Amino acid sequence: MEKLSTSLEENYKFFQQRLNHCEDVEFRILNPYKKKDNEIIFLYCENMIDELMVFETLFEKIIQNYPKKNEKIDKSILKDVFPTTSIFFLDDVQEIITYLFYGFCIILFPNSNKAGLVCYSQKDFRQVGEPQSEVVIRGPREGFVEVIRTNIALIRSKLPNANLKVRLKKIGTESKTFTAVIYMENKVPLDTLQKVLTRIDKIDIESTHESGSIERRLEEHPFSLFPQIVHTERPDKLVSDVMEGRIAIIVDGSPHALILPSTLKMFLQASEDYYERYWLGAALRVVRVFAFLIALLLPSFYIGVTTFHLEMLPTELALAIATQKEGTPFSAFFEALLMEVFFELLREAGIRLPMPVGSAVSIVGGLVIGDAAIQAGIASPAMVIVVALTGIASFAIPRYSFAIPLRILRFGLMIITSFLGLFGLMIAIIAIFIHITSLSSFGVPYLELSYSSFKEMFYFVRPSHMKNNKKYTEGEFK
Amino acid sequence: MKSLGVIAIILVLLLSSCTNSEEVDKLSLISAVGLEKMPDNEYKIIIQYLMPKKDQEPLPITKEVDGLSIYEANNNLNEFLPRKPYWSHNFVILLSEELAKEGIRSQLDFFRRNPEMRQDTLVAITESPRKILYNLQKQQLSGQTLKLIARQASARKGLGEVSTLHKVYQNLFFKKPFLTITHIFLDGENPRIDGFSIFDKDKYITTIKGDEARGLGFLKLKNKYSSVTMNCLDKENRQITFNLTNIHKKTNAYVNDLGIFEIRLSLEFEAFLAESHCMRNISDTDTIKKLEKALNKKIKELAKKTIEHSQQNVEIDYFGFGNLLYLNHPKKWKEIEGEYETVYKNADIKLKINTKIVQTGAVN
Amino acid sequence: MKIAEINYLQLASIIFIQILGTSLLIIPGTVVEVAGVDGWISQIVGTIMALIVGMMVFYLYNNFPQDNLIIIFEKLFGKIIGNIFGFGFVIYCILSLSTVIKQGCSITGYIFLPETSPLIFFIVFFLIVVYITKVGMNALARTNVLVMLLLITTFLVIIITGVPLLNVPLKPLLSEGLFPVLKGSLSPISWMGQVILITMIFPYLTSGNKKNIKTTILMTLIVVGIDHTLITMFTLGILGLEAKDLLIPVYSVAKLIEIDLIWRRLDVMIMFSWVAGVTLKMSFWYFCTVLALKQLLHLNKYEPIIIPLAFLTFVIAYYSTNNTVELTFYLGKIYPILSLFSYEFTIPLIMCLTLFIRRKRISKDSKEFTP
Repeated sequence: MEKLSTSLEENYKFFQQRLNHCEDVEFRILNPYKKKDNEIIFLYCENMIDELMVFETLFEKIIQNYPKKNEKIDKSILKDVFPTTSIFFLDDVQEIITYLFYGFCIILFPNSNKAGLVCYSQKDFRQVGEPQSEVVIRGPREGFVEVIRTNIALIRSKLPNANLKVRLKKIGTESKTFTAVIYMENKVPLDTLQKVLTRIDKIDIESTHESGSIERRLEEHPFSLFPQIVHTERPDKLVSDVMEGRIAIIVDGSPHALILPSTLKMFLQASEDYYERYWLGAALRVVRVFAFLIALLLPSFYIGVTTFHLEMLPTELALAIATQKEGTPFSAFFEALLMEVFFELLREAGIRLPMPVGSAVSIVGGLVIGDAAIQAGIASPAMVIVVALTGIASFAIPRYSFAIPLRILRFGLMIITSFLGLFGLMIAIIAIFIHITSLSSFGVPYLELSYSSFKEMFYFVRPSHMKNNKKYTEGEFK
Repeated sequence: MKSLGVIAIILVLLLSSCTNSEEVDKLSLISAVGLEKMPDNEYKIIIQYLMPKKDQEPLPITKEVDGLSIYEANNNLNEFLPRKPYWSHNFVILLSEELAKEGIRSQLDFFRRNPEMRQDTLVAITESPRKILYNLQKQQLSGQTLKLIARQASARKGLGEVSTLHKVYQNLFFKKPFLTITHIFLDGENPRIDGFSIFDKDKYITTIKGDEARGLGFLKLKNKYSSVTMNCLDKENRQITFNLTNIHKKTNAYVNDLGIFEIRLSLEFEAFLAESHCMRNISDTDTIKKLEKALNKKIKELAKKTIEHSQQNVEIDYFGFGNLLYLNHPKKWKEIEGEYETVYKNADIKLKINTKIVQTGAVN
Repeated sequence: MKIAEINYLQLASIIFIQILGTSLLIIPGTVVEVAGVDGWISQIVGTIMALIVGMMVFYLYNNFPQDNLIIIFEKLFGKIIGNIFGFGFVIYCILSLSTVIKQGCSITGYIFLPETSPLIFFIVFFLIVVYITKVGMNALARTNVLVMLLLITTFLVIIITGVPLLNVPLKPLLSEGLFPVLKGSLSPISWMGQVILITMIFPYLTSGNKKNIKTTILMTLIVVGIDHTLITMFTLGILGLEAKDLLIPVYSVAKLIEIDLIWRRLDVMIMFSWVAGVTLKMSFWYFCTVLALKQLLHLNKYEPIIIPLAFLTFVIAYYSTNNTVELTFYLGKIYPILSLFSYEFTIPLIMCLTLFIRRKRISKDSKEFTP
């Protein structure tokens, strides 16, 4: 059965059967006169709905307005009961069931092939709180939650403007997850928007519960190590990006909103940069570029220098390294590999553990094992410094997703450098940069240097905070 | 299949190319080297390497080895060294006087050809490099100390520039080389620097020490700093010392119509009164004028001494006047190029010295 | 397939890397060898001559903004002669590229890994060049900008830190007369004349103001010329004629410079950026070669010929010269003449003259560039 039939009994039976073992669905039959063909059937999912409201506003009012004994009941009664509330009628069974689980109350009438739907959706979810993955010292403390409606409200409250469009789509053949595409109509480049919309329509998955799973399907290079879509938990960041003509995607059930098209520099900036003093933001951005380079290159650079190019070090340092290396059994490469693996283990262990235990692990790991490794002669102190610095640098990158490729590439670079020295390292760096520059995010180059991008980089003012805000397609990247 | 091929290439690549990597603890860092001539045309090289010890200062250790060439001797080092000699952190090359007499250019070739080698290594002449390096070992000093001594000595004592490998070769490539190389001698147990060796092209001639060497500081083209001590104006047996800075030189060399090589040197200094054993009161301008005059005279005396020595005793131009002539008057230079030695011997060198006393120190 | 768009900065960086990628290390040596202390004057002469080549390149662009060299040949000289010129260009490219590869491999071998078999460098460069060519012009152009920054930084660091070391006066001026200077300028002209290669990528250039393209080409050539002149002056000022004695004088200059960082010696830094430059130069040359061959053979895609042609080129490069002495001789004496009398000066000149004479009668048949 695809459409409702006119017979109430048939409809009732159908739903009974279709919703068999969905024991969270309540069927309520309202038939005050115990008369056939004069009853109304309510369906709702009891956990998704404000049951008290249903009783107070729906049942009671319908009972009050119930027609006389002899009169037939039909769907016009709903109009009398709720002159203002939005009520709509559907006859598609699949859709009705979807709405049922969105938290609608379904009302079936006798002799009607249409069911009335009233929204009573209410879920108990996490309150809006400070985002965990993007902590700022200065800036709004609110972050997205799992409910798309709350998230859209957070955005809308910042931009009460008709140009801000929120387009709802459903993703997932089974889950029918609400997905909102948010953009400023007067700023977004139309071809990019079109690309995003068609690509969203093309997404063919059964279900999604996190924006991460559709992120992979939106990217042009899903197998690249580098993330091509920024995700954020902060409404303020999202709104600023949307104001620059970017498109945001919010998936119901995920507090991480996607922003696209994204470029490499967006991964290196925190929203705080724009709120703090100019000079701090400027300095921090330079620091982050260094952090990026250190996190990627330092261990392999150390290996290259100590095993191939000792001549470039000051003599005192070369001697200090030689003195420390005296008595340690492993080659510089293996030592670095050992310590890096150890560090990754520690980090992985620390992340999954609850807060108090996590810090204990890092203290034990960092201090005790690191020191013990030096004492036992497994690693030289210089190597421990290098690994620690690398770790700290990778934490200094504001976006967690961008630190991941660095962590993986680091090992590859270490292997190449241990065989080919700094020459191999340089070649590998070029290969990496060729890869990065070949990426593009919805037609916008991932990394492209030009005069205006330098200006943007060193002018440190978000275009959306400037008066004459140019679209990124016009000036920022090209 | 394709990716397998790429992986295979990369593996072949990686496995075959680790010949160059050398762990730090498999190297001996050489910090000084001395070259000596053996009777039967063999070289003796004496190296000092630094032996790292865990939790200790690295120990300088001196060893010696023979070989037909320096490179071979370098390889022979491993007859007793457990580690590969590593030359990049070498600071000093000591050449024995005997060896230097044969011309240093060919002897230093090894240090030029090897890309690992630094070109700012100190090159120094000494009577016996062996003795100096063993003395350094005894006192636990590394070659770096020797280079630092040379640098300080040249800066504080006005001995001209430190003769690094690069400077030596730079000089040899001038039209008329005027090489002077730091000379180190043993004073008891301590290596000391108080003069320089002079060369005819790249062949060692002799060493100048003490007062005669002092003039070089003023006359060499680049020098920043020097000091002069002279007798007091009123008391003959007491001394007054000036420190000279901001040396400003003007040199002109040309050959006049009579074929006489004329050199005009004008030197301007700023002098600081560094120490005075007389004349408590030098605040009045007259005294200062007098002092300046005396200072001029003294400097002239010192410079003349060195110049005379070069013209009369060794008959070699180690100030670079010939080169100066070439730079400014290349045609004139071509005329006298063949008989430069005699021309220089009879050259007319005029000095003009102008000193300004700009400070008298914290004491009034 | 969308044509990559190359903006002005990228165009400038391509020209910059394309010339300075190898010349930064080598050019002072080859010039000083011939011209002595007047080497820097040779560089200025070379720059002025190179500007003429730059003007010719722009003249071609001005008339054929949508075509590249191979198509221009055909339009100017007809199908048969045009194709002969085209195949000649491919051969010229392969020969030049093989010298670039040989320089890259022998010099990195000499400095970075002296004990390693040279074959390793050929394999490494082979892999990276094939990879970059497969990825395409877009990524290459963008990476060029990054590497240009690296090269400029290196250059500035050498210049700034080299100032205290300057102690040899650049005198006497023109002591041997003008002839050695002019002879010495051949090598810089042949290097900077390689700007002709951007005729291959005309259709990729951003279709903006033609005047801007002209300014970009000429300004970049001037900047490169200033770089050449300065680096030669510094090499001469620091080393004197000792530079004649050294294989790679600039490298020796970098070795002498001491800075108080962890990176105390600059030589590794200069090599580091040089390897980057030479890799991108190789890739750009190779891209142009492949593109030219693809057009001449009327292929749909150039991907299939990347690997076979790369094998050919690298094998030629591997067997081209036996040692650095031969290489420097070839680079200093033979290559400049070879290149200047073919595609770097003579043929562009013929093209410009033909264009000027038959301006009205250029065949308008629409042969279009397809990437």
